[in-house]
Amino acid sequence: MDVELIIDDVPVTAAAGASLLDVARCAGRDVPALCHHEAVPAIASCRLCLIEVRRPGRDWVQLTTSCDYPVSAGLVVVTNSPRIRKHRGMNLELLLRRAPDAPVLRQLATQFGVTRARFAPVTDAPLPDCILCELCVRVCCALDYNALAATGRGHDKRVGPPFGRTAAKDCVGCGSCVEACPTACIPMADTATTRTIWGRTFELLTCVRCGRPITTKAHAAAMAAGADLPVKSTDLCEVCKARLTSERLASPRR
Amino acid sequence: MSETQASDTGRVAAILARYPRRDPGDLVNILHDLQAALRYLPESALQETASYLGLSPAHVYGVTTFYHGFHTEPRGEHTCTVCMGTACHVRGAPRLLEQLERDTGVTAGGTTPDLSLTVEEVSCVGACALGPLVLIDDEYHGHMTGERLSRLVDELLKKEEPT
Repeated sequence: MDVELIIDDVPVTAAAGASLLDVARCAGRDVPALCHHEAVPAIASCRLCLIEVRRPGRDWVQLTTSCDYPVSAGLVVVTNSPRIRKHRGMNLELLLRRAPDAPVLRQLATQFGVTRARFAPVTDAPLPDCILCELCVRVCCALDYNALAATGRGHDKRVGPPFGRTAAKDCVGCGSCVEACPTACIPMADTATTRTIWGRTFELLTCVRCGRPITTKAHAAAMAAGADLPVKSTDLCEVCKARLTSERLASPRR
Repeated sequence: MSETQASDTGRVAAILARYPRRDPGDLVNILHDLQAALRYLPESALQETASYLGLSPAHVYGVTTFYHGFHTEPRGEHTCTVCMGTACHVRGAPRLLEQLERDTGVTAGGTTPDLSLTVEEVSCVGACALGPLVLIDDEYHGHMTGERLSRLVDELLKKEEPT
């Protein structure tokens, strides 16, 4: 069911229950968010997507996170105001305490005019730029590999493979955690034939035609098993798959 | 060592068998039972629990480390906990802890190599009128002095020696 709401004085139609962050961004509003990914449910941990919402029949304006706010009829939303900027700036300062050198945070700091560093930065984090948004953990769970965990809490909270070791046997080296990480803090190193991630080295599967690496052998096997296909079905890279198809279409035997 | 490991495996299996529904919601209860039996939660027990409940080891490890009360490192036969709350603090708790650490050779949170004693500090146990307070296992010992603490710890460790 579609509902009508107003975002920054502009009437907008959206599906009821959709994330307010997604709706605002679709309407062309610039709302910062680091812990949000369309593939997994919102947990509102970075607190940068704060917006102001006035619900119908209420005479106060609520400051709330937009990623986990379901859209409903008659909302009046403001995505940028001095109050919003003040609180986003404060939350950004707190994130900067965790990850003082993360490029994406430094860029946001410039954007929000955050120049102070009132909180002593954390210097002993195993992943220096990590803001503990758990996107890596959530994405890994969504893919059903469940190889990563958020462990400990408070100052000792970490993300990584369980038991404080290198990647567990559940990890297939797909690199989705690296892909999803908003601060690019997870080290992954590829050579022509290997990939090293979470302290473990995986063998890469190379395209049988062009020899370019596709993904890890473990990932290919897991994907093939998940789709009930032979492992051989994953041995071509995207480019060669497309080429092969067009070659077949062009072949006179058809 | 392998003998204790074998008996641990048996105990873990016996504890898991108490939860025939294999409900992931029982995870914390199982962890409590396991820790009561093994004094800590070794990786093998957590792995077994994970496969028993159909959870990932990562999830089980995450839950275990979230709670302060669960230990993933071996614990001593006895625990000596020094209350460091404000009332105990002003009555000399830091000196008691310092003495305890010196006597046992381990820092707060640590366990003696022979696994006889774990030394801990706690923020407040709510018995401020008895400060400085030391807990030995689950027993409260109020108005503690350095001398008494040495005697108590000596007794505790001596009991272990004949065996």
